[in-house]
Amino acid sequence: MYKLFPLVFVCLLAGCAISPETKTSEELPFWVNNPPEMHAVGSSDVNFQGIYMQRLEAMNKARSDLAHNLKSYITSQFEIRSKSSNEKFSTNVYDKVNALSEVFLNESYQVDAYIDSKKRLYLLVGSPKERINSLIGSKNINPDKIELPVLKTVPFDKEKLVQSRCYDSYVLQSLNTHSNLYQNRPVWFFRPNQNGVVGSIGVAEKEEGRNFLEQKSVALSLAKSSLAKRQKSQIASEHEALKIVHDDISGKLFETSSILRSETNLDYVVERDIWLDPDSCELYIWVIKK
Amino acid sequence: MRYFLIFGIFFLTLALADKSVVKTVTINQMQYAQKSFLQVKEIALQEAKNAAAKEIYGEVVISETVTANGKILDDVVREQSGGIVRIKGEPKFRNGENFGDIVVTIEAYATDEDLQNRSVLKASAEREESQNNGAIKKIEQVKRGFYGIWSGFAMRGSGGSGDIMIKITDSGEATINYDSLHCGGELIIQEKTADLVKFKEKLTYGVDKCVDRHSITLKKLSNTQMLFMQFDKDEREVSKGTLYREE
Repeated sequence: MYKLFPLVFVCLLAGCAISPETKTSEELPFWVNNPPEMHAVGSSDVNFQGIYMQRLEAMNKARSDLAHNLKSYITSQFEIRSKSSNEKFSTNVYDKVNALSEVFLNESYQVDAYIDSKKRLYLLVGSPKERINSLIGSKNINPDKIELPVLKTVPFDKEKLVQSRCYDSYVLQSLNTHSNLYQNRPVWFFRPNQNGVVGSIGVAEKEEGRNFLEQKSVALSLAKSSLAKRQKSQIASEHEALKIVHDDISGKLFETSSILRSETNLDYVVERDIWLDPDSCELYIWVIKK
Repeated sequence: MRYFLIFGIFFLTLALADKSVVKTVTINQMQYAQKSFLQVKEIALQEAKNAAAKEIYGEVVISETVTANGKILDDVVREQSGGIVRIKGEPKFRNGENFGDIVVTIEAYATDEDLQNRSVLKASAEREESQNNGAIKKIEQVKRGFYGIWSGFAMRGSGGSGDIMIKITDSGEATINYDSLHCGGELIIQEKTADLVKFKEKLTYGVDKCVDRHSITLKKLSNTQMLFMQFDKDEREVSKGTLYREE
């Protein structure tokens, strides 16, 4: 029971400070505002460094929250100072809560993703029941089985890719994307772990002076790194909430920091699919563990 | 007899090989327009050897991501793979499906001894510690951002100038002193990003000499310099200046 106390505490802390901002008029997937038990949602705005960094931010936030939900060490400091001078009475309140979490998270993976109309990316991250139970030493946690909505997809349009100016036409002609597209991206960008495969994705921007093979090599490395993190990650994360009240003036501050580290021996990874965004020329690669 | 011995040793070596793979790699000459045909063949062969090494010895992927307030400060990915790769026979080259494709197929193997002497190194404790310190320093730099003692001058919109000293502690408490005006007080944090922080001012002394409850915005220009802006209750700028880090 004592192991669940920090979980409830952090959920309360997280609930008031880091819930995703959503647009009410747009219908978002059910998990954005109500993530299933032992899952976490990370979100991130458009990043000028490309979709990879946007996805990485969202993924790290989700993993950090997941770690805090599983295990965290809370310290708090509350101070109230009252003083009177020249018939004036003043009260200062200082309330600070720190939540530290350091866990080895095995098999934390992307379950689903969604991009809203403002291009904000939401990621749903989960971990298998057995891993969670072994981590918190309980057999009671039973994550919900998630029924993901069916995605309305369209077939990959090679003509559009060939007409783009990303590379010479013979390079573009050689690119065959097998997956259908959803929200203008391959389905595996949203669900890289579909149908029981252990997968991950890497996205590389097109850089001036670099050829297609070099771009592909970067995307492949990032996909492997993402797969390594999926298999085993060490997460050290800190959430700090501060509230200061001076009479009728009050201020709040919420800060987070995290270090996510992974060192994994990837036995054999195979490239499952590839897609070049005809608009941004970003290259997406889906890799799976053989 | 001599040939028999050579063949015998050759086949014995292969028989003892613990792991062997067949790798086929295709590269297109057009991707290497500056290289000669022989050089492109060499690149294709090298890629095939790399692919074989990765499959035989596996690949250690080391990655680290550091974030502060939801923003990525650093993302590093390192791949390590290696060991002796031996080629059985000659590499086989042929033309591929597309114009300019060069396809190379090799049969590679590593002996039991090669596998034991693999050169992929696990991260040493020393390296791990230095990585830890590096990541923590990056976060501390971001967190430190505004913490410390800052001083400088501000010009008032109504004319005149005054010196200012702001002290921000790492616990989030802050004070301000207008020495030349003989007033000062506390700053209550309202909002903070990586390079901007907003406070509400509450004077605790010299209230009769200065106007209370202004808003203060500090914008970081560098690690040692920041912009000071003071606004009245109607969000009109009252004074502006530059502060320098004292401590």
